[in-house]
Amino acid sequence: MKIVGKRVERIDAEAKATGRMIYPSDRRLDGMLWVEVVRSAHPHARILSIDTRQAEAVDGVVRVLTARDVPGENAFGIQIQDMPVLCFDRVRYEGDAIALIGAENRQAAREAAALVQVEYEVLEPLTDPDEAMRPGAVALHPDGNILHEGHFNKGDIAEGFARSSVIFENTYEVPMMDHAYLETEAGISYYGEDGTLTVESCGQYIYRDQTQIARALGLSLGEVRVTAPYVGGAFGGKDEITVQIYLALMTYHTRRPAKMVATREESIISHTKRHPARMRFKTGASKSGKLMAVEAYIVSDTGAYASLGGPVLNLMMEHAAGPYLVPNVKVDAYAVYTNNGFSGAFRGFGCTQVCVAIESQMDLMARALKRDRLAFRQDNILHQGDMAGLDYEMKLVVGAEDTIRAARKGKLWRKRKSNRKIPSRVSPSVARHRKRGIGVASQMQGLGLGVGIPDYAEVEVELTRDGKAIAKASTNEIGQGAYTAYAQMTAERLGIDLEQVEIIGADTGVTPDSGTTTASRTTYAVGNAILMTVDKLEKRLAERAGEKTGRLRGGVLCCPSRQVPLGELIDGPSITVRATFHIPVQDREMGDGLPHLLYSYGTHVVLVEVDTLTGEISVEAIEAYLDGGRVIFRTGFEGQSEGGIAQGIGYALFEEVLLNEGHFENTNFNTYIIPSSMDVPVKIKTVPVQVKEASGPYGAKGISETCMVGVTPAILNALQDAIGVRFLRIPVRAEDVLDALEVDEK
Amino acid sequence: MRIKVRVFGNLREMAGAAEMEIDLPDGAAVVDAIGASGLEDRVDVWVLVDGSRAGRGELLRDGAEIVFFQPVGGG
Amino acid sequence: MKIDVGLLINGTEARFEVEPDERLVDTLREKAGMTGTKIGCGMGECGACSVLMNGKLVPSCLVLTASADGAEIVTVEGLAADGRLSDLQQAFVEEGAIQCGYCTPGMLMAGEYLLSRYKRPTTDQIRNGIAGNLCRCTGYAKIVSAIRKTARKRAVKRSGR
Repeated sequence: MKIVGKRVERIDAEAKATGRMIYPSDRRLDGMLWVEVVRSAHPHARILSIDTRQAEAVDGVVRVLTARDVPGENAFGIQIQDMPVLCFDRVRYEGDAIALIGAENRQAAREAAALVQVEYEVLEPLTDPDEAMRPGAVALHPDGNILHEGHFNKGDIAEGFARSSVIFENTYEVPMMDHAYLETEAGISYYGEDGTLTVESCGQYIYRDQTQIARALGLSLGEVRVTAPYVGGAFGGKDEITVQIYLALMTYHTRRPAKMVATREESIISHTKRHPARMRFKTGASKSGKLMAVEAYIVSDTGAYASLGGPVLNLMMEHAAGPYLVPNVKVDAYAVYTNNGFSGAFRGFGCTQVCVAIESQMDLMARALKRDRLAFRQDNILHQGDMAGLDYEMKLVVGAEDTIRAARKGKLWRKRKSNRKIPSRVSPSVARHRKRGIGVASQMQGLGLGVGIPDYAEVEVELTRDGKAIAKASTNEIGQGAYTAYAQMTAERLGIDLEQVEIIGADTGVTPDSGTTTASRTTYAVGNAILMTVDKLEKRLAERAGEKTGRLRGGVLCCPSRQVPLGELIDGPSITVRATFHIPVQDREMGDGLPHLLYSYGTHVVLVEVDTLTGEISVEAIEAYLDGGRVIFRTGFEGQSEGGIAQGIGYALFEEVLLNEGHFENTNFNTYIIPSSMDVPVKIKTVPVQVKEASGPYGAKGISETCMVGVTPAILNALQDAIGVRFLRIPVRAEDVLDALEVDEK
Repeated sequence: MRIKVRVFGNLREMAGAAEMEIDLPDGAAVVDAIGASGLEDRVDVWVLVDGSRAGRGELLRDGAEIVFFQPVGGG
Repeated sequence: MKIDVGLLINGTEARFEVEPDERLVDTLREKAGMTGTKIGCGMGECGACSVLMNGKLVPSCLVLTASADGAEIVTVEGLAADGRLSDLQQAFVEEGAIQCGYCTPGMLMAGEYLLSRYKRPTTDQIRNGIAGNLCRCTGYAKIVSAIRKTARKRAVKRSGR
């Protein structure tokens, strides 16, 4: 491999390093209106009246829009359109949109937004999903408050526990988490020269955005164009519609360009979150260290609207038993509507939550059995051909054990005894109060959308006479390095230099439908589509050359008997071909996205230090052993792992969106704390465990979620190792440590 | 022409089946297949013809495989 | 009531008419047409709006342009010279310190400020130097590497070796 697998320079690095990269929030057009959204003051209320007259009178205000100005369907939502574009009779969370202001400047828009008079009949908010599930609870939606539920039973759970010599039952609580991408939701809209209503924004699936916009505005798909190539971070938070329909509406009504940039407060309040959940896990293992039973009861708080709450719950169920062979599994799970914001896609997508539970349980059982914690996992790990927790076959290669074996060889685990000692450079009076511990966690993550919905990527490759290539895909570069990986695979396959490849991304007017930029899928799906497209190109060119076969190498078609320069085979400047790759799926359909066929695997090893006087926790070192198949973009792979580690630390120790009776309490970075450079360890090691996936492009899969998911439970396990406390609730804050130590003392 | 139709998700209720075969006259396009499958022609009804996204005006050939689904996926 | 303000931005003089409550970041982005400086939080917590003002690192979302009359401002657009990346920018590119890139301009300014104060910064000093700049993508590791690499290169250059 000349280019695949190498530490190449990102193709967008220079533009980003010089400040020349134009993000959605940077775009501007002459004559554009600034859009502000009037949002609900209450988490739950009836709207009695909306009076926009005062707002309309503000100098500089051009238009104020309410529900009656939505020409198509006043509803959106990826799965179920249960979210009003603009509310008119009821608000269900504090960020619900009620009116839009379009003004000549942002100041006027803000002034006007504050002057929209909304008369509310405040209703009692539903803030506890257990309460919301009870019959008789106020229904937030016509079909009641249970958005989705799943019940699974394999084997005989009672029998499983009867045969267990160690059983643990715990209820784990995981919080609402914000994506906290540095660039908030933003975009512009305008009528293009061809009359198309164009929205340049940040959505993670531009074709689905196009449909949602068209549906709300009563337009045909051909009348709407959406672009979103370079975005300042997403992590799933820009999967659901955010600003796009508001922008389109304002431009539709005023015929003028419009711009919207969410403030950080608005972003934290109004966009989807990671589902908070309560998970009661009861697990048992035999005396010989074999898992016997996993029973999970999960209540996921999906907030006010559906978004992707259903599929997230499905992945919670799918991953509840972890990457392990478990003969008896019972899972009952509910995704429940409340007035607590609204939740949706976020890196890990349900797996993040249940991994906290199952990996904590694994450690508890291992300790009780006095088994080495890595060995206990390894003894129960899934292999290719095994039946996973929810009773479907792991048909493709399973690198889970490989990651455990690699972790065992790493310095953190091998030297765990000495690693637990406080370094000698620390003075004894301080060292006395510090405790160190090592923790591990293993996990698997389903890649792609899973079964039940077509999951494909269409790509276009244009090959020029002088051998340059332009690859077009509709997925976004959200920072993960996707465009660079696509360029590497294109260059490798064509035998040309990386510099001879251009990537054009995310424009419904130009790039074919390559599916979502989510679910760790695009290296695999778009990569395969690129390879298929080049196959097609070679076939077509060979036909033109009058040959049976030909291989493109460095601007020349290499046929068995001769080499043909492209100039001889291409009339005009270039030849363009498209192909669609479909991600293979399981043959059993158990639910939306349930189950997956393709998985990535990981094992994390963490060293933490706890200051027992202050309760402060420091993550001192971490090793990530990640199997995403072959690594395409080596620097990008490491970067994803390092970023995932930071997010995993955030989830474990810092981050929690606080709601008080449905009101958001911490809506900026002074109170919603994400890890800074001081909170991540200096000693980070990322080891690619490259178990090649035959169906992947060059054997590649994906890693963008796995690299985060295992980090949090590994930290919790390290904390038990350090101070003997099993934390059942995250984030674990200093006061939680002190409280727990106090209890211990007593 | 004989067209094979597969339907995903909620559209199955509308169509009354997950799989079916329909007969269309020569020169029929995707838009004709929508109605013939019992589906409402909405912007959120997406179409794959022989595996690739197709517009309403795309002409069909005998033996084509059509998939109808809604863009309800996410990850 | 507009106020007349003169700034030296990346070595070039510019004059602006600003409202008393206009933020420097908005003057830069909206009036000077320099969108390299970003807004991440609007309250000086995330560092995305960091610029050098009279040699000091400041969050430009908390600076009122009206109070900055006569100031020398350096933004990310002023780092490259003659179309060539600065050594620090080049290090960011080479080390893989850029993912979504939204924190990058602020990080570069913080890096420059750190390197102006410490000739041989330790890893802890580097981490401290960027502690006011939040990044959600990279986990900071490669940003620290890039700054360290640049410090070494500059030290070598200075010593004439």
